[in-house]
Amino acid sequence: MNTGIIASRYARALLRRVEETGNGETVLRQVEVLGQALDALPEFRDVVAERMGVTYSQKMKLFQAALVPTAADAPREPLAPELRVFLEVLMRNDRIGDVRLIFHSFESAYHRARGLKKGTLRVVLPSPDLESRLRQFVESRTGCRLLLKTEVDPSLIGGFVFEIEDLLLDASVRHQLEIIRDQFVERNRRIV
Amino acid sequence: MAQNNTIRPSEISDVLLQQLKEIDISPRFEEIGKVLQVSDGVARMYGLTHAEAGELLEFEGGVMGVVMNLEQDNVGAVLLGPTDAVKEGMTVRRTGRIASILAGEPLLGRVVDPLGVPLDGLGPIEGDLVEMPLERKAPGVIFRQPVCEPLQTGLKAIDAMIPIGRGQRELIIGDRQTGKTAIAIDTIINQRDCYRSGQPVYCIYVAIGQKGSTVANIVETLRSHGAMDYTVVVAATAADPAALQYFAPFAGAAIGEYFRDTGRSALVVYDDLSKQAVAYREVSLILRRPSGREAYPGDVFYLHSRLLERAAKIIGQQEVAERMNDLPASLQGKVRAGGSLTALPIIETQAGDVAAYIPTNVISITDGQIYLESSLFNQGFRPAINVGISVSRVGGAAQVKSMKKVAGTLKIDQAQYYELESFSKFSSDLDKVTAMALDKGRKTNQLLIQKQYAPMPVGEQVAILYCGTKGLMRSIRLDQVADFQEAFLDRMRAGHASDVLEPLAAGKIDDAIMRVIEKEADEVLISLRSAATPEEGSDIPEKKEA
Repeated sequence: MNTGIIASRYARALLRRVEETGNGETVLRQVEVLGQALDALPEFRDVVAERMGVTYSQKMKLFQAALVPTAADAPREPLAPELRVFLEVLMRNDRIGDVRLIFHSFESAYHRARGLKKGTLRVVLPSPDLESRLRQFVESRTGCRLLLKTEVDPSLIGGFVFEIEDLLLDASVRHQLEIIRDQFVERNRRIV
Repeated sequence: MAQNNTIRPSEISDVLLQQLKEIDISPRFEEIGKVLQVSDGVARMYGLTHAEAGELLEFEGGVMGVVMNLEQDNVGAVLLGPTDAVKEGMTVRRTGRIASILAGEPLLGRVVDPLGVPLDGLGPIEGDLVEMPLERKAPGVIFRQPVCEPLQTGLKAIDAMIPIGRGQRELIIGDRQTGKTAIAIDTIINQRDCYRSGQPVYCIYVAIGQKGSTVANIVETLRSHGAMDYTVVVAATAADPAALQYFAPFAGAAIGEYFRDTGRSALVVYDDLSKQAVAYREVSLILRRPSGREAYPGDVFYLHSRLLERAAKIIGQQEVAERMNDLPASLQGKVRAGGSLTALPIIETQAGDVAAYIPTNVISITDGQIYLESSLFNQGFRPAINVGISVSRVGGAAQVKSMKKVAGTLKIDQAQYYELESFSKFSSDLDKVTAMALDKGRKTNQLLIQKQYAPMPVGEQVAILYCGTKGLMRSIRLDQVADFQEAFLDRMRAGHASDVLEPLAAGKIDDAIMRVIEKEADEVLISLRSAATPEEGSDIPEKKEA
């Protein structure tokens, strides 16, 4: 039950370390990539959490291999020294099984410390005007700068889906049709 | 599944258009989280900072979950669907609602899961339904009244010696295969007469962690005896996630509360709470909650106490009942006074150990227990009730007057008989009084044996137990008791249904009725004796007239 407390303590320690070294952007980027790899591959998570049979160095090689380069011809970057040491500390303290939650906590803490909000916008067609309005909306209400990633999703039919931290605004046509269907069925069930 | 092509009055275009106009599709911010980890029916999410305990969450793909753990930076939830339908990285939304089930008359005759989804293949449940929360506070003290109305089980041993009242919690406890479920099913079947007379006791049978085939057999038994007309079956079988098995009794209680709070009588059977405790233990251990005795979580007592406290007899004053605490919004304006919810929780013991953790917990919560023994079952005494240690704390207040008068001392008499029986094994010569007491006890024991699925109306019970308690069968053999009972009841049904059986059922017993019973008993005894061979006789000599 103390997983959250433990994760936030480790995340704060890593944040303070990267603030000392000034390598926060690199560590953040690598943490995001490793986090996505842990989400996508259950086997990766299981091997990392394994206590017996997998050595520290083998786990470190896996983390290194998970840092897939962004371009086909780009060199594979090494793990940032701060991150490498951090992962070793996690393994030594037997907390490597909570690494996903720790990474989440670190990302949130890092953005909070820099007055940033991370958001994702999914649209049917890219719209710079919509992006600009959303940035103004967030920055005026929170005083934080919005880091916005835009994705194209034709299944929305129309409208957009805006996700910022743990809030979601689904203004897509697909969602509206789902609401109509669900409420319609709900109302008609009650009519004898 | 056949499509329903009947056009309903509501399906006029203008009405449908109006409905469409009233639907609110304006987008609004929803709180979401990301699934961090999912295994064994439990998911851990990051985000959901304002999620509330017991709140329903919706995962991508439609699987629902209930928030169980609120921790720093993450939320733990139990899944109410298959674990493999939820993946790490999925988005999960708050619904702002707590887990609930739609309850109402359309549920009668149906088999549903704890979320109200039909399992019987008879199509969706349509009609007027009310949303009832699975977790709800029990009625406060001022909204209750003492239990005063009997709930007839149709089983002589129970209605005579361990009577159950409407609003009571009576535990059925025993080892495996001792007839616990049989008592519950017979009780449900016995409510058929109430249903026919227009004052039904609505029954809810909650199957927790049982085999699907067992549940199917029970449903078929209820259907063949006409009991499904007033019964709902809530099933969370052994194949269902532990979370569903944990919630199943609460779903049964929620359905029962709908009938209770609208002024009707309801009976809920939890079969069995041992399995619910095991499911709760599993969920709690996966959530990393601290474990206690026998690895159960520390609040396993509260799990059962808050469930069983919801069985109550509601006060008869309408203006007080309307102000009941924690009334769901869906019941506002529908509350009627005087309803009741009776609970028959079932607990399975291991090797007769009633002093184990969960059995002692539930014994201390309930208003009595019916203890079933394997040894009695194997000896042929079925229902295999040990009347010595079975008790109903409501007692005579839940009996019709006639039964109270006839069987008031039966429990003590049987307890004394058991003492004498064990004593007589060591004695060769018995005095006449002891021999008569033993004979009467043995024959009463035989009277209390009852076939499964053959509940007896209370009038007949009183009549036949009168024969036992007054020693009217002293002149027949022990093996003739069953024949005596059958012949006697046939005569009573044929010739004295209105002048004896009905008044007895209403609670009336007087000298005239007793004379009729004695006269009919004599007639049956004569016919039994004349059918016997000259060498055969009774176990003890007849008392010679002075």
